[in-house]
Amino acid sequence: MRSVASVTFTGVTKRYGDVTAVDDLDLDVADGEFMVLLGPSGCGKSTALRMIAGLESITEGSLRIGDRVVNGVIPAKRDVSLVFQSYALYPHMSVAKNIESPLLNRNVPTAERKTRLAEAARMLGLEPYLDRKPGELSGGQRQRVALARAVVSRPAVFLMDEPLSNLDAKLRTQTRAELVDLHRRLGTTFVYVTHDQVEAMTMADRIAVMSDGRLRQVGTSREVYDTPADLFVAGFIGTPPMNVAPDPADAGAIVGVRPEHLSISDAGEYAGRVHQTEWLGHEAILRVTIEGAPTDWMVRLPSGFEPPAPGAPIRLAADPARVHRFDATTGLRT
Amino acid sequence: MIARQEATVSDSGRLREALTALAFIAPSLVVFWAFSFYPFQQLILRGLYRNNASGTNLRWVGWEQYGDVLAGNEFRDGLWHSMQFVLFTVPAGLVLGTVLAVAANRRLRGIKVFQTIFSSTIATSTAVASVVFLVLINQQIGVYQGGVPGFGSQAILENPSTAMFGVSLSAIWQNLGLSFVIVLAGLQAIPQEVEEAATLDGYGPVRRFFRITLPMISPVLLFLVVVLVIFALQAFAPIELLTSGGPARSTETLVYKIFERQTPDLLGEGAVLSVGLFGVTFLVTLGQFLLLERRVHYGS
Amino acid sequence: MSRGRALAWYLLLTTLSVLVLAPIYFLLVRAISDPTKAFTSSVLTPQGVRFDGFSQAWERGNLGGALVRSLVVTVGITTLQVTTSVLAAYAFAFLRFPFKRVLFAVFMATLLLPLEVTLLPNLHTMRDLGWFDSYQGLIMPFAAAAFGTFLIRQGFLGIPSEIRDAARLEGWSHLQFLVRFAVPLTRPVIASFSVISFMGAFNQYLWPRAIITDAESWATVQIALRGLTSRIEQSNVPVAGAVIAAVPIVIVLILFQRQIVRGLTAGAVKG
Repeated sequence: MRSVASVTFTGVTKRYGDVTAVDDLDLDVADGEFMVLLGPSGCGKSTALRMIAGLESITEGSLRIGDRVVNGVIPAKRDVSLVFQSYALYPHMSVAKNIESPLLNRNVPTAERKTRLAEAARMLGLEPYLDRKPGELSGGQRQRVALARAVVSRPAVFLMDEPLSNLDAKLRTQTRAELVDLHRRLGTTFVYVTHDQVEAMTMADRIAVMSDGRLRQVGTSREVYDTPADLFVAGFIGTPPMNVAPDPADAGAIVGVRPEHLSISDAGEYAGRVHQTEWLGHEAILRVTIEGAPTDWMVRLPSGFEPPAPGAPIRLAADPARVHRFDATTGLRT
Repeated sequence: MIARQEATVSDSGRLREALTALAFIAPSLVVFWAFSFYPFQQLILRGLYRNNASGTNLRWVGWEQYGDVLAGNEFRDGLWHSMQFVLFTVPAGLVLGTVLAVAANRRLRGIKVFQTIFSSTIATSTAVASVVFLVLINQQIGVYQGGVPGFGSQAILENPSTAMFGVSLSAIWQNLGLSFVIVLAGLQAIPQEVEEAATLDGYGPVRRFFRITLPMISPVLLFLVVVLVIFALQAFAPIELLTSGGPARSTETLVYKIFERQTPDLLGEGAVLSVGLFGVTFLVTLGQFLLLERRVHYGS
Repeated sequence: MSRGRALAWYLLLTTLSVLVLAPIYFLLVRAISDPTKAFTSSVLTPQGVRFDGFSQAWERGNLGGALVRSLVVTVGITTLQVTTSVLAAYAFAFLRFPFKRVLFAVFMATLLLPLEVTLLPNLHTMRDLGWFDSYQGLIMPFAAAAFGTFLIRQGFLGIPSEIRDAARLEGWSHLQFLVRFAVPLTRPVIASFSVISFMGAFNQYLWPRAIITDAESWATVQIALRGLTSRIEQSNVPVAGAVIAAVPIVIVLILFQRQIVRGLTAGAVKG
């Protein structure tokens, strides 16, 4: 009996004394969606996640899981599971006991408990490790135990707090794909927190970009990449980040162009000097000092590109359809 | 100009390092030899001799004195009284320390004040704690001058059946601070996320304490037990100050008996009792580790 | 946490605090009570308040002298213990030498030979050396500490090896490295041990009791306190003496609570 539910934040605020961690958050996570809360540390994404779990109280506003308002409901009764960043396994219990743990406290009959344990263990490849203790497992294995423990309770909402951050790079890439597979198999609503925009872009159905406690934009990877709602989103999504500079023609505006949408052209509208070229093998990144721009502009060029001499003057042209404009005061897209 | 690396590569460098090490360790070693190892050797030897009261007839008796004393009443009584002290003070210290630590391990305004109060008995010496309990249960000046209900009407410290218990009270109170501090540290070492995971898994506060918290602090509790047992076996001041070993020598622990045997005629017996005390401490500590370690969980 | 729950916890904590502090309360009440009236009526409030218990305790127990002697002994023991422990810890942490493991085990073995076990032969040594009623007698047996060596060694092992390597490259000798780098970098641990050593030395009872034959001139505070308990009927006097005896360590506890806690829990909790 698998349940699926939406998660709805309506005007949710969380304050600790003078500090506002989450500010008037309105967010709808659809049934079965893979939603990623993305932002730098301190942006409020983890706090928002913990509010869904019930580990943080809500200062203002209402939070619904499905149709039910859950503001005062205790965590165990919210029908959610949480995979902690540190996995939070019980070190004195075996892997099997750890996985069964949510079922032990909910009067699930033994037979069914064993079936669900076996199912979760199989799903995550943990059958050979059931009798071991967490201390005997590698980081990746421990993470899968945490996932199994979350899966076994068949929650309506799956919560994950930066689950990949403690894994090494190679394992991270592999696990990313496995998590997307898991989501497809379970069909449950996933709410996933990360500061890594690559994770967000590759895994999410939709991304909610947050900073300073506020939601900046929510949309598909495409949407936040192609039409960022403000300067913050524009600069946070995409590597290398979007190039920005004040519009010489309009003091109240800032223009932005992504590195892949620039080319070298004598007729280009952006003038500057070559700073350095970084050759990466599959492509080259040209760094250009543009008059008025706060930092070097970066241009993505094919690998066969001949690097000009540092210090040489250069002009860059942008695909006009790919130039973004932002209001200099508010940072919002215009 | 490259500075010479502190040599561990060359032979002379090794020798120099070893000599430096020797110089650094020597002061401690000298003290240890003079006041721990040499005396221990003397203890064992002295147990092989008897003497008379004026110290003029030191004679070899071999292991006979060991046999007599260790099988005799003094050792048996001393050991029993020491064990009573252990049985009274250690479980109490464990339970009370845990109660205080669990109560004070939460985020509340002003919690630090309570934590300071609970740890305050660390500041008391055994002499001060003994005087405190003179004020509380001494038959002449105590706040409570009665006995223990069910054990007769004699005052606690005057009744041979309850005197050891009365003396233990002073140590139980004195140990509160230390027990609290140690268990609290154990509780604080549990990652918050593990407690949260337990909450999410549906463990109510009581089940969470017994199934999750307690197992995770078991190494700390073992450490505390070992420390408290050693303290209990070494107790002296409360006995001297509260009962002087009485009534009817019912509070004479091993250390007390040893202290009383400084004259030449009793020295041999005292030496054997000392060796006995050493043996008991060693075995008990070892036993604790073997028995309890299995039930203790050590995390990664 | 909700108001109601917070209140419940405060109630519990206050009750526990009262239970923990009650003995001290009775101590203080008795210190300022007339001994003949102390338990005639209520025991909860001072009866016939008088403060001369303190002055009597001070004079009869010669507490002034005792405090001075205690402080001298305590400072002596603490200084020696810290010094010998730091040196030995350095050797065990940073130096390579034969029988290192054996010697470390020897150090730890002394924990099984406390003074309670070695009392009698040590008294003989004191007699042979003529160290009864003397500072050296009170101090020297405690000049080294295995616990301190263990604790400080742990601290030294926590220093990143790069620092040691960098110092080596700069040509510092071991003693210089110890003084300029190792000690300053492990100040918290050394401070913790110093405070615990201080408290233990000040509160000692058995050894001073055993080697002080002339209490008049040589008693430490704890032994002076014992002297005061001989006339127990005048209960305000020994009790006032106990209060005075406790003051120095209470001050230390208040000032150094964090260091004390760290030192005591070092063996208990990893990391």
